[in-house]
Amino acid sequence: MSSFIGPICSIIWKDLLIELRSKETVVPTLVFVLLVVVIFNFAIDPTPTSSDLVAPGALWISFTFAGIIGINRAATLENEQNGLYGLMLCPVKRDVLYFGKSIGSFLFLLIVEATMLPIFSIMFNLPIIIPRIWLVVVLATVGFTAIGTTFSVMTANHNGRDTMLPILFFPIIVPVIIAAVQATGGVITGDPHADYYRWVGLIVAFDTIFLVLGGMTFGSLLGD
Amino acid sequence: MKMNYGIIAIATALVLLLHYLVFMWVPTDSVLGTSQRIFYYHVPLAWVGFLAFGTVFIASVAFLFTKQSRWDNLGYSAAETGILFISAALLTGMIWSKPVWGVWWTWAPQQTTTLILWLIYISYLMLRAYGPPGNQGAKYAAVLGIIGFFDVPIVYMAGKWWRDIHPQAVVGPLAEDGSLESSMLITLLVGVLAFTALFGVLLPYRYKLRHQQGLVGQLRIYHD
Amino acid sequence: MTRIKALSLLAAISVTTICVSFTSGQPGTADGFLNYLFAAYTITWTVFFGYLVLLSRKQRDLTSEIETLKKSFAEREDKTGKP
Repeated sequence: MSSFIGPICSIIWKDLLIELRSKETVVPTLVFVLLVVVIFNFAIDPTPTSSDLVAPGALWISFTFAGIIGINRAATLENEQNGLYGLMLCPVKRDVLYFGKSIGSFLFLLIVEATMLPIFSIMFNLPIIIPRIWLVVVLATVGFTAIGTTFSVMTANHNGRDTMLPILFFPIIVPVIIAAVQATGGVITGDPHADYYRWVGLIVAFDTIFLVLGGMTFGSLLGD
Repeated sequence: MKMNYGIIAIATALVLLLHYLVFMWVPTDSVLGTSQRIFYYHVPLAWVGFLAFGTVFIASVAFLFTKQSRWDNLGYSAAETGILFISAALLTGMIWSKPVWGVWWTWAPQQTTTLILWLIYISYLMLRAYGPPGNQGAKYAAVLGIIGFFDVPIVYMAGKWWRDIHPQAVVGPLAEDGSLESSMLITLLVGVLAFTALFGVLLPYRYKLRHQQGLVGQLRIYHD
Repeated sequence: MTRIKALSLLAAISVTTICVSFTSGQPGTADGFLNYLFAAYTITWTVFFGYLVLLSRKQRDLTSEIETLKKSFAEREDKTGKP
């Protein structure tokens, strides 16, 4: 077991250290998400009555874009000085690399989302600091990073990288977005028919399937 | 290139039979009128599109296990052919829903799922076109083929549950394959057989072409 | 180049006939909407025939590449006595 957890923690710590030293992604991503929310406000103009209809969509669109940035970063970190080959040389199983990278992205995204949630709450005048919403955010972020880590390796190394990752990512992540928006919206409006646990169940199923698939296929992606 | 004339003859016969049934035999739907006959194209096209996607999945799994290029060629050919059928299914679906419900797009779960499937096919072909060439690109595409296949049922569930919450204002008859009269069912079945036979003509043709392109590519490398 | 022309001619004819059928077709009675049916079927077959035109273009390119390679190998064999 330790040969599984130990290397994973090392990879996570490595990515974390890089980010702590350079701070090159958390801050710009936060600013970007803030700007998306502001533009959303001008595009949709939420009045007090429509605010709870618009808020879930605005929240999840900005989190999705933040997700793309965070996931892209996880793979491009390895581009410098052929870091990816260095990782591959480690005598660990390939799914260890997968879980290390995806947990690293997950933590990064979580930091961005935790910072943004209070700001959303203020801007839309809605109670967003609710545990049920936190749960949806955490689970959906797991889904983002599960799929995103797989795709980021595919797109990290070539020219079309900035557009290819969203093209691959968005169609697959659609059910998570639908579920997250519906669950969040249901909690905000307090609608008893919103079936919160059904949507959460869908996200959990998605996460499980794609974490397993991601771990299984990561070796093939790295060229084993 | 040698064509299999048997399957071409079968496909031609079935398509002719389908047209006889559609135009001369099956009764007109009393509610929807003549435009309902689009149904006999639209549904088989969608089913064959899903069949092609299943072929991509099987070929992808086989390729990751055996690493033989013939599975990769099959996957690519099935994806290209499948996108053809899905595009036609989407277009005929839109032309069908316009006279029935007055709108081009209804966000019905099947329609949404078909659109997402189309987008996944597109991302697959783009990965092939813009991704790394050769074996590595083939592995990436195979992983995408597997991920996409597991995603489609989840998309369908999410779309269905979303629809439960947001029902359309106008729900027409035959909205989601209601009960069918037996003559309509027979015509539909012939349609499925006819378009499957058409798939059986196009897929091997595309596969042989791709296989030969691979051979010529190798020859060129040997030459240079 | 002729394949692209054939493809665009096919698409243009289909689009024109579909539009004409909508402007001069049957008024919308219960048994109307024949023009929608025509549009759907025409689009389907245009898509398939268009694909076949594209495939035959790929095949033609492949054949010409094989010819070029054949010639090049023959020349090489003449020069050096081996392929």
